[in-house]
Amino acid sequence: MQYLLMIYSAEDQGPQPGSDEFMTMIGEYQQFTNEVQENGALLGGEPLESITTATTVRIRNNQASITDGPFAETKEALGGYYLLECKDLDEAIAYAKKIPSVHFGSIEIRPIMNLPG
Amino acid sequence: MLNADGHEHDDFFLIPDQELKLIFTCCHPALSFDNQVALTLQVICGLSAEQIATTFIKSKKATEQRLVRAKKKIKLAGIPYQVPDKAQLSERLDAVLKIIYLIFNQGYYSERNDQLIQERLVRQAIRLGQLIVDLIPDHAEAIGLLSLMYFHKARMAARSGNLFIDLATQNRSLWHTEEITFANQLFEQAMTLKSLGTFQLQAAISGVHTMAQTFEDTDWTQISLLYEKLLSYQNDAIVNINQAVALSYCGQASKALNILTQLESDKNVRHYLPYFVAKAHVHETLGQTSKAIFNYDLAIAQSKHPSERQYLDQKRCAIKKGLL
Repeated sequence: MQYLLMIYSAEDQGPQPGSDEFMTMIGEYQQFTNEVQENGALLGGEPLESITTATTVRIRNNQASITDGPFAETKEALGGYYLLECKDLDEAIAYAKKIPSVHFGSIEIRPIMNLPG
Repeated sequence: MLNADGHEHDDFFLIPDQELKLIFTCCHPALSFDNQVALTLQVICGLSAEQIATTFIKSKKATEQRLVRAKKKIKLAGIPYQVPDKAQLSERLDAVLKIIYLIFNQGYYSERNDQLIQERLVRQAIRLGQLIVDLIPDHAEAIGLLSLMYFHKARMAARSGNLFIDLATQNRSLWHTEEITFANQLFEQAMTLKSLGTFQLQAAISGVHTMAQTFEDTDWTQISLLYEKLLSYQNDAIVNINQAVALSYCGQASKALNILTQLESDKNVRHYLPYFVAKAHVHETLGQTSKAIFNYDLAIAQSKHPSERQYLDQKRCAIKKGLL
């Protein structure tokens, strides 16, 4: 099965860019990426730029609205993702526990919908 | 296999290790606690949606929807059908044991159920507890839970259909001695594994109660020490209330009252009948009769069951008589 592991955290939480801790975390992310790659589980995964760069688009009554910022003002925002091939949810949970941000943010696991045909 | 109620299974005959896998699927932490309970009752214990709804005072339709949604999540999210690996087993097993004890208590204490469902819940909870002990024999808390359930079950007959015959007035000759012996054996077996936990401590407390030939013989000092230990694992209102009662029986009623007074601000006790019964009892022990009567009044006002109200009213009247 395919699972999307979405990494949510508040941007003022966890190691901040420029600090030594941040560099350590980058190393841990690299290590995790290598692990899922070697296991043949990695289908994709990228970090995202900060929510201050987010743009939200909606069309209502044929009228497009384009706004600055994320679609919902929440403290914890999507900061990156991994798309993994896992045997089952337990395997996905085991991987989620290894994502460095899990210690200060949250990982939401969503199965990819299996479209018929 | 049809049984007396005509349309469904009572006991399943799945191969035990398959059933164990199924239990871990139903009690998977990716399902909400309520969904875990409902699924376990349906899939493992063979209860109908209607019986589950009755047990938890929910509508049949809501329960059916809950079960459908939960099964859908199992399928779509890929919740596995397997016993978790060693790294996860202990944590996951704790959740399973909690569900089993909840099912047991629903059978043991609930007045909402008809007797048939009650007996089935108790029987199924014990069956599941036994199954886990058979297949994962070195888990001390699993054995502790089975011991605890047998200690309770052994005293079931003495309640003679009335849930609110308290320990003091139970006819102890109705206690099931074989079950008590079995519970004691299980308890000793659990202790040899040297991994103490809440179920073993509760079993120990039940064990001390069953050792007493009469209520007056109860070793309350031992019981209060065990509650003290239990508090270090589970410091909640219920354990504190029980500890207070135990202390009141071993000459420490003032300390008991302190504990209960400190609980006053806990919103969990505001509508918790045993809290007011305990308070009434402690005031009574301290000779503070008007406060005792006041708390019995509060307890009676909260009670929803006639037999319980009658029992509490008798307690209250006994104090009033003493005043004359």
